[in-house]
Amino acid sequence: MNNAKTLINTAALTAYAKEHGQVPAIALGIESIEGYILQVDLDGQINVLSTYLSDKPRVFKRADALLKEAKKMGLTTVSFSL
Amino acid sequence: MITEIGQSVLDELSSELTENIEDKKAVIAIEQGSNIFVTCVKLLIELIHYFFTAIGMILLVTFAFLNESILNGIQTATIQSLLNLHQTTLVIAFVVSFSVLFVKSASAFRNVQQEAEGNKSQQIQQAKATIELVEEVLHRHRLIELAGKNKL
Repeated sequence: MNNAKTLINTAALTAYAKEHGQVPAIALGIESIEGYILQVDLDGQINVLSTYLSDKPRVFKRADALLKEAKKMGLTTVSFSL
Repeated sequence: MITEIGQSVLDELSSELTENIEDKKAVIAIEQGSNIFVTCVKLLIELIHYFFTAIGMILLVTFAFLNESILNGIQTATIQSLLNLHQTTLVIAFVVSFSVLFVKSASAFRNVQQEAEGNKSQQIQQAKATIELVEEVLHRHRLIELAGKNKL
């Protein structure tokens, strides 16, 4: 099984969510940088939401900001893993 | 002219910048508070400076127009009228210095939140210009199609 994570940008994730409906998403708490990254499982491949330049994972300092963005992208459920 | 993808990148940038400002709300509030305090202290120092400058100017003007009749008037004046003159001079100096300071204070206070918003929109404008330029280059190389381009 391929455990490597890839980056996905907001536009691509929005398009995927629109096409496939429910997308399971996990907000992973990162202690060292005090924030969360958003992880989604797309067809068995783990993807991490990237910044607008698609070059690094997007870190949300606040959970409410993450949920707001998730809602905007059309994600219906986000589980938090601290 | 900007493509849908270009606009999407801009929207993502805007969203991230807005989030950054929200994250820094506490820092912005502290910065705003310290700015108000520092500006008030500066204005108070300037008020004292303008006050003494105004008194100096009044004394200089009085000295420049000093003549015999004024000196006689001072000699024959009662202590009460001299004290009144002294008080009036101080009031005039204070009013002048306060008026100058009032005009200056309008631009002395910084709005840190507004500055952050301004920086954000400036950054978005710069990014938009860059995206438009990049898309124009790609279009001229016939690497992308721009909808509505070259249609007059």
